[in-house]
Amino acid sequence: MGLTVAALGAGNGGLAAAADLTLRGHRVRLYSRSAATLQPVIDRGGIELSGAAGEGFARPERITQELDQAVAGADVVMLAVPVTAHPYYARALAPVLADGQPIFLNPGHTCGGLRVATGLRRAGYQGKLAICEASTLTYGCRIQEPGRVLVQTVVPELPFAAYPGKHLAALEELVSVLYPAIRPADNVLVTAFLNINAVEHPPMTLLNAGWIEYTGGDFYIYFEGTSPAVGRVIDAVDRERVRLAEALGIPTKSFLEMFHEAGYTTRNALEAGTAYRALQESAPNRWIKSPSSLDHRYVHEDVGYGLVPWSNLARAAGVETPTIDYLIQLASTMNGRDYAREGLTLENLGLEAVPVEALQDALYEGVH
Amino acid sequence: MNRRIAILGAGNGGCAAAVDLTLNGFDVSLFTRSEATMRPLQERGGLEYTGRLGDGFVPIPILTTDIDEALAGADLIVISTPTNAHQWYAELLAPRLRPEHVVMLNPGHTGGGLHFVHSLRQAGYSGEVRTCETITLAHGSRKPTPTKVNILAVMTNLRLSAFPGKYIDELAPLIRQAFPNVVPAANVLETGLTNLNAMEHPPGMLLNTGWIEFTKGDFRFYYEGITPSVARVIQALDDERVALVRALNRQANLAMKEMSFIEYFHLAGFTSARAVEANDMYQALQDSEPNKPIKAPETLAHRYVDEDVGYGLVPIYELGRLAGVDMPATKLVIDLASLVRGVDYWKEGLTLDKMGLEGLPVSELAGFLYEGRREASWA
Repeated sequence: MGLTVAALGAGNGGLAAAADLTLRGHRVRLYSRSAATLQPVIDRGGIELSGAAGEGFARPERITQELDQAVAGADVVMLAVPVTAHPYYARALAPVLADGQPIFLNPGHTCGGLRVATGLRRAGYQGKLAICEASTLTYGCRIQEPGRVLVQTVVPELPFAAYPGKHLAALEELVSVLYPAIRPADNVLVTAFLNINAVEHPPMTLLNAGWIEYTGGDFYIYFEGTSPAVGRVIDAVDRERVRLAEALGIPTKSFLEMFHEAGYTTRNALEAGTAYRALQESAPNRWIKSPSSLDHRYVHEDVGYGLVPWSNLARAAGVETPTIDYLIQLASTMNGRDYAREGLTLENLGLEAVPVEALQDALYEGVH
Repeated sequence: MNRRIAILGAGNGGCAAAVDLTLNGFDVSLFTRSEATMRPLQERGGLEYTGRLGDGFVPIPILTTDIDEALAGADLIVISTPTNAHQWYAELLAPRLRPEHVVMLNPGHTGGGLHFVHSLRQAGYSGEVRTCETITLAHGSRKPTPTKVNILAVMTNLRLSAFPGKYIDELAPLIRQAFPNVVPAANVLETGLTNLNAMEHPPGMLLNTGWIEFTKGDFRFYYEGITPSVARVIQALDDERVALVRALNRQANLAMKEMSFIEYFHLAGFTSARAVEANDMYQALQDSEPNKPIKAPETLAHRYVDEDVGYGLVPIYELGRLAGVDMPATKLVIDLASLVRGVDYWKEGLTLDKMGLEGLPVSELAGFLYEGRREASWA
């Protein structure tokens, strides 16, 4: 039995999801705030899908720029947008979201659900919150030309969390209809600590700033850019992340373990125990080019929505995270922004008044 | 002044000075603690040279690894070593120094004289001491072979400061006999806080870590490596340095020039007037013709990090601590350098303690710089 899905966002992930879910028999309403993004899909009357999620031409039930047209009556509202757009969507959804209407962040990255909850409340939404999130996007995919999307991989197992946590079972039942690969985690902090992008991307971009800006990113950022010393910085960030998770009582694994389990590096590299080796021996990442500038999600998203929430939680827990802290400061100086303020702070997460020892309960019951 | 000058250190700077002074009619004794560096010089009996002072060979009368032989008959002792060797030299000289000696640190970097004198005292020397220093080497040079030095530049308008500062009027004319291009400065902070290398080198290195390690420095360090976002970090360091100079001027009544990196850089002939007008750090480094062809170091294990963090940013940060100036960018670069190099520069570098300044009230700083001793011990 198909679900009615409001798919918000028509980037790589949004188009792939809209096409895949439509072809699998769900009723999809595709929404984008950008007319330019949506127009090619309207012109074609749908989305052409190819690759690992199947082949075919998908005709979503609606393709619209009216948010209420997409959201009204949907079983689930799925946000497939950069995390930096979550505050915008929370504001826009507040007046049109029904009481308790489920929101699924695909992906939620680090604590995206809490940010959306805060945004909804700030914008006056008074209904029951039922938010859930996948730690990363359910697909590896690229738009090849407007209206045509290629799925390279369908992620086989995906950590999944709900906020408030007490709705986990119900939300898992709902979303697993769409994505059977989801694997429930206790709460959104568990998935938040699985964000390996925030461990590796900021050091590898910031410590290659000259190379990136002078050549426009014309090098392989994992294989060439992640030299031994860059690897040491990644290792230091990861040690701080793991120590913080332990202090908060959150189960987690090392970057190397996660990277190895996801099939990204060799057992030898895992045993060697350094990020440098892990990235040297990462066949899937071998040929990934560097971003062409520092104006990129490797910095905006992975610092502001990755390192910043960790740093905030660390301060609340009295744990020192010096490397994470100065990378935030360095990124801010280099990009002329203030990530510590614009990123995911405790205030933006809605957790500023929650004592650390009450955190787990608060995430279960909800504090927004 | 006695015609005999002892030069300690036989690297680029020491050898260039040995050639220049010999050509000026001085009688040089050249010392190094390294047998391997000394042996070829002894076999050759002197130094070959090329570059700005012409091409030729100068015999050096004393070439030795015996410090007593090197010091015999010399009043002026020129120390031309990496700054992290200053303490070792202070300990070597402590039992041998006499009040008539003048020690010149070529260069002193930031706080070199303070560190040297404090180390001498720690090692038990209690007599009068006269040191002087420059911010950078008197010669730009490279040694293509163990017995040959290529003198690329002879620095002009090289500011010379003394510690204790009260000796500057006496020392400046003396040093000018040997190094005619020096001009006097009021105290060691006036030279030490113009450390431009400490502003540009650490960000240029650390923010090109992958590029340096993957290509072994196969790019133009200043022209290609200092991009807009790297320049923003250099600017942040320089803003903090200028804020420190202002704070020290105000609190300790020091009257140091409050000039920016870009202004000094232009004054030294390293960049364009338009970069100064635009006050644009990226532009200043793009427009630096002398620096344009210079390649990056092959590795991060280089003085651009070790010296310019440990003996540049660390003493600058420490002086900020003395003056109560917040220096978050400086701190972050020191932290990052420590992690990237696996060296704790907070410990290895030049702290207030090593400069003899720990616990000194900032109100007494000017007096200390002038007298060389704390007020309580003034005669």
